[in-house]
Amino acid sequence: MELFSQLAQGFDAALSLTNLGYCLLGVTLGTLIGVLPGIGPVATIAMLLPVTYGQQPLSALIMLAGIYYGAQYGGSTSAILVNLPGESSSVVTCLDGHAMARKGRAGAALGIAALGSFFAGTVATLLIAALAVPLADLALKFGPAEYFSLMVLGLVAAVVLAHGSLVKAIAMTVLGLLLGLIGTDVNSGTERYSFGIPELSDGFGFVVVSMGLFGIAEIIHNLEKGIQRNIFATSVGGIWPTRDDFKAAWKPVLRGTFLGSILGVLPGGGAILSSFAAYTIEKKLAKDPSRFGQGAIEGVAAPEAANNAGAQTSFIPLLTLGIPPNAVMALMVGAMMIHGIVPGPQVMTEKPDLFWGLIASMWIGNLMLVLLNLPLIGIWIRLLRVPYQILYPAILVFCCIGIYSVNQSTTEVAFAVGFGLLGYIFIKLRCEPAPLLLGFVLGPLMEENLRRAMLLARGDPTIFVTRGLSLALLLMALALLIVLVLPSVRQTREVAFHED
Amino acid sequence: MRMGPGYFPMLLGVVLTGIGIVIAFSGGQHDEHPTDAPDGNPPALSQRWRPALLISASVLLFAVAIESVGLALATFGVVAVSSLANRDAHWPHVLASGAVLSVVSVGVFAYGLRLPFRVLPF
Repeated sequence: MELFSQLAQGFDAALSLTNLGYCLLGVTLGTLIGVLPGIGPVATIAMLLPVTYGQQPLSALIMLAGIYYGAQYGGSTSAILVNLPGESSSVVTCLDGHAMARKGRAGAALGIAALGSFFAGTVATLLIAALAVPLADLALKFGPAEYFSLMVLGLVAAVVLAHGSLVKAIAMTVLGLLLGLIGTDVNSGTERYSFGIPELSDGFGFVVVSMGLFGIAEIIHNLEKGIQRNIFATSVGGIWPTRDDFKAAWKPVLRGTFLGSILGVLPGGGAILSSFAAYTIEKKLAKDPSRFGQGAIEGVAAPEAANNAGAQTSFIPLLTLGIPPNAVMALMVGAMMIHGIVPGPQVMTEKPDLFWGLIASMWIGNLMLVLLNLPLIGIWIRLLRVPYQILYPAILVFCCIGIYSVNQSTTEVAFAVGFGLLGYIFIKLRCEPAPLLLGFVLGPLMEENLRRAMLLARGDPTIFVTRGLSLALLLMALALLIVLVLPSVRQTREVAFHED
Repeated sequence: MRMGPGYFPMLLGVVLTGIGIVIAFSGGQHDEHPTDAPDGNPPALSQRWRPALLISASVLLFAVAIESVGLALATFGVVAVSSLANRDAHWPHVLASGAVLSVVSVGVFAYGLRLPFRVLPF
């Protein structure tokens, strides 16, 4: 089997001592920020991007990927013990996970969450490996028109994911696209919207925008509303779930994994949507839905499996098509660009070590996470007791250093303050910043492909609907938009995102 | 149709204007007043802007300080100013964590990762 020989090659690359070290570092950091509310994977990865300059590309990607899926494990810990989602993808885990903790079954909840996540991570790793080759082949058939249409689909899908108003989410996406166009136009060399400021001739840095919108804005918002935490479970109890727990949980884990894997691949998908969808389905399928919210183990197992599967399969569009499906993957694009790697189908053939090494590292990382999260749970619980008052100045310091270290530019630090205030206003106006960031990354790519397609078609815009693949992608985007405005879908979406 | 550098921004601008009009007209239907304060009275404006102002100020201070007095003092400044945003701050703790963070950031970033930062004012 070619698949296994390629995976073996990947394991070979990922099992070097350096890469194992970075993998451990990544998943540990991921668990850490997952446990701590108020700092998410987007801000952390943005903060660490400049640090990866000096690393080997594979080591850098392994570490950053570890942060993302590590955060899914860590997020469940604070959800179960404190009833506070460390990550937005653990919001639903709070419902039944914390109820289990109240009944003195915190250990079993933590255990099933970690084991379910591990199973989902294993399946998702295999899925990425299996889907990578066919999808990359498909991607090679893509011309500029198809890429443009695919990005339209991705942006529409990102809107589905955003909390709150649909119209606002679309507006944020378009605003992000516009922000992405700032700087020198590649085709003509004209500077756009740069107002003669030299720092703007290359546009806003990705780190500046993401740190401002996610790092600084979040700190301001958290300080304003005040974060309170009450550790509930002082004694965790036995970590290993009972035989009955396994019996109740294996089917939800399977369903969660399946659902998460699919939703993760979709552009705009990822961990958050997967966990919501998995919880809803379990509740629908249950013989006695009233148990949910009272400590049903299915309500922990399914969403935790789903969010981990979704986190990992969201690498598929990035690695095969070169299109980031969510904000974290957009950061991964940034990380690859730093090392001169253009994400896309050619990565697999040109840098097979990097490609398969990253995939193999995900499984290794998942194994490390189970070991980190089960026997060492006590450390994370102690960490939960660090008050936010001590934490946020430290986060702020690392944000500042992160932004400054990209170009040694104090102007960029000042720009980040601007984006921080903007992000704060967005939170107040209930506009989600995630679609903006995705638009910001896709803006230049979209324009480039739009103009290239138009050039090839000699200025005939019908090229987007006369090429079959492009038309199919555009129709999917349209269908998604129509489905979105249907009243019944709108209602479920509102219910799903109600828990804020 | 030939597309110049202004074409795509123009297109997006028109779309965004359209969405803006939609939002403007649909807004105001459900007027939600923020009820942040537990007693029902919204806190004074100066209090509500306190975190935003002080956090921004601390980051700007970093921008000014990093090239003039170096990383150690810049770090300490960020911790001190940003802690002003928290009214329950316990100052001995703040000063201690500022000192610890200064040492950590100098150790990790200037020496560990060898980022070419100015470390001390002299």
